Amino acid sequence: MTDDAVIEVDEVSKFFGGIVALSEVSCTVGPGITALLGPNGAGKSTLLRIMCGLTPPSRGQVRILGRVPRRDLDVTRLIGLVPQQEALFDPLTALQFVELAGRLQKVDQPRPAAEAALHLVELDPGDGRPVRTYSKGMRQRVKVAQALVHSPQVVMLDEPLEGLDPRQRLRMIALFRRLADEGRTVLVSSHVLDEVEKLGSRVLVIAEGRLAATGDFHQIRELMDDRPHRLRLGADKPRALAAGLLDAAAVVGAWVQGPETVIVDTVDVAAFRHAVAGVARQRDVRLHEVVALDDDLDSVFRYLVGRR
Amino acid sequence: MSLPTGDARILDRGYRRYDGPRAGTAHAVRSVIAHTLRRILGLRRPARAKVLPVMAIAFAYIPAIVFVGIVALSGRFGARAQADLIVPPYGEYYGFIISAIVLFVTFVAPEALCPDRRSRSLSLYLSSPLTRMTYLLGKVLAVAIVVAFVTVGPPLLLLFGRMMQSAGPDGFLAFLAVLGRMLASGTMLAALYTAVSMGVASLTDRRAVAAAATLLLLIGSSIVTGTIVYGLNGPSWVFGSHLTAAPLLLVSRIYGESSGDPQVTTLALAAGALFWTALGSAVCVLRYRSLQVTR
Repeated sequence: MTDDAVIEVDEVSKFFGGIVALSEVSCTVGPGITALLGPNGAGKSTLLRIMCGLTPPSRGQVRILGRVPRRDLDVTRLIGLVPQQEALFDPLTALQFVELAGRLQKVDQPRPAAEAALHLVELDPGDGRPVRTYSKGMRQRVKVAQALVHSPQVVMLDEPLEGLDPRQRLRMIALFRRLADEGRTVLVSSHVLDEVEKLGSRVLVIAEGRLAATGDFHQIRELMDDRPHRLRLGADKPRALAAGLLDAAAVVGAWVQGPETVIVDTVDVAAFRHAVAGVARQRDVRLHEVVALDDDLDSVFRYLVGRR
Repeated sequence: MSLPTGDARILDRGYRRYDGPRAGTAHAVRSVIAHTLRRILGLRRPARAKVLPVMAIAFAYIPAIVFVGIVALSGRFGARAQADLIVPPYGEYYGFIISAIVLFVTFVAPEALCPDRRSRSLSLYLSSPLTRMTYLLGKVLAVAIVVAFVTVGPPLLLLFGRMMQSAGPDGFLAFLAVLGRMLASGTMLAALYTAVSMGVASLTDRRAVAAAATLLLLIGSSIVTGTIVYGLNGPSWVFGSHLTAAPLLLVSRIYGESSGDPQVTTLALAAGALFWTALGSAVCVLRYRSLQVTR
């Protein structure tokens, strides 16, 4: 466990009859944004519900700021949850709904807090329409507002980007980053990898109920030592460059693609970086581009969950 | 798990091709033996799976323990002569435990062979370095080991118990002679009953049917041979194929004891034991050679 751990998950398993939803998951989450990734049915929502104390783990324990949310109800006031389900009271207005959430969280002045929360998610507190008339994106933002109304230290969001248009997604991501910058712990569950990549680089990857990887996904990519890194090199003499890199044993494979492009596979990026300039100089090649092709979250995610 | 880069960790990479050393056929056979022994003895299984093996082993060993106790007590009270009247010679010990041996062999081989065919997991075994014959070898060795546990173990316990009470054979050579006879007779019984029970168990994939058929064969052989030899005054060598009395008579002959019908020659007894052992083995091997293995 790290010193700044806000959420500590210790050997947590969850069984639903004969189905193992989570199996011996151990991890810590500190302040800042962490993305909880996994395919559908991987156990993300179950883990979030256990973290919030909504459901008990079958084995193991979860602590939020050193306290067990299932036993210590006060700690639940430090948590804001955006559930995946459409859990809104349809006849209420957005303000009424968020204000109600504030009252339930024992906020001193629920009305101003609700108005502030709605402003945060760019909704008009004065809108008198009931939430049942709202679009999916607006309802999603109401859910986020009710999670923030009591200014929680820990914010857990289960698929918060679902139903939002691209512009709203960007704004919501900006909001999450702002919350993280304020020192809060923001845990976002999602499978929209492009958007998650914009949130930050720290991830927890769950697959089939097991924690597959944790940490910075760039560092996880470095740990994928059985998969060569693929890079695209732009050069005026791609054949000469490919031959030179193969001669120098800096790459394990090279393919010339087009008049000025060569694709290479290397198992040691550091050694490749060291060698490529020397080889280019030696072979009188003008190198104008080096682009990593599989250093993104999508590549890491496919590696971790694709073999199951 | 990989070494951490910063605080990043990969904990589970999912399915991965096995690149480690491959232990080969001998290891696979050993695994079959170990797994079969666990299954037969009910190890790592519910308590009800342990009842029959524990009962059979207890029935086989309790007489030996009692006899050793009698020898010990008689030594303490100076009644060794009376004890010698009660405690049977080594060759006759099997007469006390033949029911335990029969009980044991009727469920051991079916337990070892039938479930793999019934659950169609034989194809999984055969997708490993095992062939049909090496698979069968593992099964035979496992069954023979547990059967030998009740055919060799109790007389050995009796021998060593008596020796500890200074009531064993006189001198080292005499001890070796008794030990050799014990191992020979115990091994003969183990081989015979293993072959017979496995031959029967190879013909069905239902344990209960195999156990009942084995029992029926053991009892049936005694009825048929008894009727031929004593009811119809047939040739005495037929008695050699009696599956319970003839092996016990052969054991007595191995020990040089004169018991049973003197008209039944030792050759007939040995031939009978050999016949059943060969027949059971042949049935088992032929059955597994021709068995269609499907997924």
